[in-house]
Amino acid sequence: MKLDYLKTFKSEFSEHTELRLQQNTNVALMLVNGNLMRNEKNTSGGISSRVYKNGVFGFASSPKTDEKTIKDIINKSKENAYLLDNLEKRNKIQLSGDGFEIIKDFSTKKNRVDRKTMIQFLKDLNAYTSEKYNDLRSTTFLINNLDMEKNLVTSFGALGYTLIPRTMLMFNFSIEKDGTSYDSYDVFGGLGQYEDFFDNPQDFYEKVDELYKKVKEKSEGVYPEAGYKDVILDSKLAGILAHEAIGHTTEADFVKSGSVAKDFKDEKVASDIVNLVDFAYEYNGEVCPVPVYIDDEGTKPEDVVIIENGVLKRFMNNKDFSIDLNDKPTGNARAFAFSDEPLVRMRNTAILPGKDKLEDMIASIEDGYYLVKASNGQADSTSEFMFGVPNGYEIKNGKLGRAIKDTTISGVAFDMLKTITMISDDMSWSNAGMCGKKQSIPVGMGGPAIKCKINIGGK
Amino acid sequence: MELLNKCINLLKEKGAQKAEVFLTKEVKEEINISCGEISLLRTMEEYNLEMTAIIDNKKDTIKINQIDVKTLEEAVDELINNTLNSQPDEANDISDNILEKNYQAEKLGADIPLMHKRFQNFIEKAKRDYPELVIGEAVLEYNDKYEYYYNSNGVKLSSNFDNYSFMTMFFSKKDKKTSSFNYTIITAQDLEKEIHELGSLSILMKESVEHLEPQSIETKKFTGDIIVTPDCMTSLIYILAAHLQNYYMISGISKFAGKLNEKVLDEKFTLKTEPDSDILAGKKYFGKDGLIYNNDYIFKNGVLNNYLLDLYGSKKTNLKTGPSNGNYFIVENGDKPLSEMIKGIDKGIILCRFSGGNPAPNGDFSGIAKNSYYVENGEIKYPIKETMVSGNLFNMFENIKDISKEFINSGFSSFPYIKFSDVVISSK
Repeated sequence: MKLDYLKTFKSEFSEHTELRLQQNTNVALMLVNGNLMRNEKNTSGGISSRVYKNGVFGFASSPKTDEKTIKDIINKSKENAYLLDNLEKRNKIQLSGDGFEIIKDFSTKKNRVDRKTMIQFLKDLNAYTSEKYNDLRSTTFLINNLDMEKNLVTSFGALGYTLIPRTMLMFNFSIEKDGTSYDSYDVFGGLGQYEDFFDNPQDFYEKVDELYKKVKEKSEGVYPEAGYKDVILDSKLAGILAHEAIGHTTEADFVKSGSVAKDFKDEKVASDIVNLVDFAYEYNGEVCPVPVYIDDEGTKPEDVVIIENGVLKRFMNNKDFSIDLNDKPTGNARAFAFSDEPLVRMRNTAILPGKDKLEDMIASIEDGYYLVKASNGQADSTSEFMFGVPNGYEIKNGKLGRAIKDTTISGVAFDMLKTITMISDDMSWSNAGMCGKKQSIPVGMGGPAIKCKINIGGK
Repeated sequence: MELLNKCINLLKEKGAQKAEVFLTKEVKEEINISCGEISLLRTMEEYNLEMTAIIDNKKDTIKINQIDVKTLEEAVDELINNTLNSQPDEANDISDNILEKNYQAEKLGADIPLMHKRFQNFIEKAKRDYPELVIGEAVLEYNDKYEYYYNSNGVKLSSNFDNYSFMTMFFSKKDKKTSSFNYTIITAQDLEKEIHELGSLSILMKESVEHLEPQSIETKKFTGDIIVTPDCMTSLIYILAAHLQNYYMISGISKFAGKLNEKVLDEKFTLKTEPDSDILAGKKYFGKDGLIYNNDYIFKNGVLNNYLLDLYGSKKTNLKTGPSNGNYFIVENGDKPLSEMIKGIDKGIILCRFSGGNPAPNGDFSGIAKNSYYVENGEIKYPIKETMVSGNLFNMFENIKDISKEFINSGFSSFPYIKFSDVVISSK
């Protein structure tokens, strides 16, 4: 095993050191209007070492993983730490950690299929779509399978091997009406490899029908009226809200810098019914979309209850920032590639379900919007956030009305959270979240539907 | 280069009728600031080898970053197998522009003590001039980059250049007031200048502090003029460019399909791509498809001069390949001072950062005006908060009111300020 190989270098450590041997393997296929525009596999792996010295880090990495290179990389990271320590003279206290060992492998138990089978899967979906819906201007079907395999050995005895795969199937349909193009997308899949989700294209015909209905409705839809409105955010949007609007402001690096969340610790920031947690690997006994069993600093992760009954309780951190915040490490240090240093990152961030039914929530709104999903999102140091919303509906007199065209919603999270009056009793996880903080990395985002007030863009 | 010849020969031996190989090697030195303190020194060596095979018009690509013989041979076997199982497409091809060319820029080498000094000076300058400013994150990277492209038609291209790139994210904090974050990314040929002298950084830092006291616009909703700053322009230009590239053109949803040599945007608008520029520090001499990049116009006085298609996109659409892959953009500046442009606004905003959803294919967009200012009766009144803007990107570029004579060179692009009309501005 690679972990056994890595253990042989422990004798080279003379400072607080993390040694990581990692390989990311990505298979991507994209069929656009029946044309196979992408058909590729990308394997990127190597060794990295990070050394801590008196408050600064030295880091080095190489794609080569032979014995000499690994020793050189350990030494180079140490040299970098010593050089920076000499220039900075920070004299911060030493990092520490507990020894433990974890092995988690989520690779498929099914027989692996070849590329031809995957291409045929996409071609089948394309054939079904183009035969049934000949008014679509374009169809895109995309498969992306990312396997992240990490081996970690630390100077304080934490050891780990994890293989965390994620596979997504995405549809994007475009339709033209009155000379204008409208598009919509949907994503399926999650934790696992291709074989775990995509046995039979016929299983997804209904999803094709649903997406066609959505893009058709949108092309015939209306622009929302810009302003501050009552809305229902569907569970797919609540997840991105948890991540973007609140999660980022409660990451320890942002908190230490002075994000607005720093000022609200132990204060009421949301209505009583709001609970928000960053889960390490499980929720309700089920494995989360991006489980982290050992973080990239060798910390055994724990769930972080960020908001409890409306009160801001705790921040996500790593070993270094936990000292500044007078907390213990939460296990949120994550790196995307072998050559990336661990940053404070979310794992599986979710608003917890409430007691309401979605239909009652819709019925409670006289004039507003039901917003179904998000395309992208961005947070701010002020907790102001925005999401692109590609699909939604008007709500008039408690009933769903016409579909709306693309729009954007925004708000200040720590104001908006106080406007939440209803939370649905169900919960769903996003299977495609990517967070782009310096390094783009998979994240889990989840939640129920929520009723709140929000700014909506439009005409 | 022996490795690339070996790859091409191996691919041909295993059955590839056409083969191409693209290799990059990068040596990087990087210093990081986190929470206002210099925190990390990184050294990285990276390889990326991309091999493509074509058999009976079927194509597959494999990318690896370990280039030992065993890994290479296994990758070639897998590539050939996947190529045979791929889907035929007559547009799958490799460059036949038979050429051997090496692009070698004058190199400086990494200077870690100078990188550290520039960062220390940056932190001290920020503390002295803008005591409320918080440098959340900053990265100064030296990159020595080698690129090689070989194919089975005999094309052999290589390049080597080094430069520095700088990224920072910052905001301001005073008591319990926090301003929106802002950021900038800059490429520089050397470290002759102090960090705060690069690009628009000094302007952005000043604006950040001013945004500790933002106000809501009193008029809740109006249609007005906006001036888009050079930093904010980047995202708009890349959206326009996407409509000229493979995906939008092949999927048939490009706004500019069938419009070559037609006037499609305002005549004041001229956009160039300069991958080998005398003005920009960033360079890109050739693409992964073996095509040589050139400096050329994309839109000239509003007329569409070039698409940004690669070899596959070109063959798929029967249009010529682009002068670049869609980078290193320069928008020609106008002759009106920014101050005059502001004076001409009755009611509007200066849009300094846009945080919004991806625009629809029809160009409709909406999002938050971040780090922006309200303008009334020709004067900047105050920094704004919780303000949304919405409009149509294509309508905006078809009806440009003014382009400034001032411009900002970030090293990978150079943009002026542009004034647009008829944008919906709404405040909470």
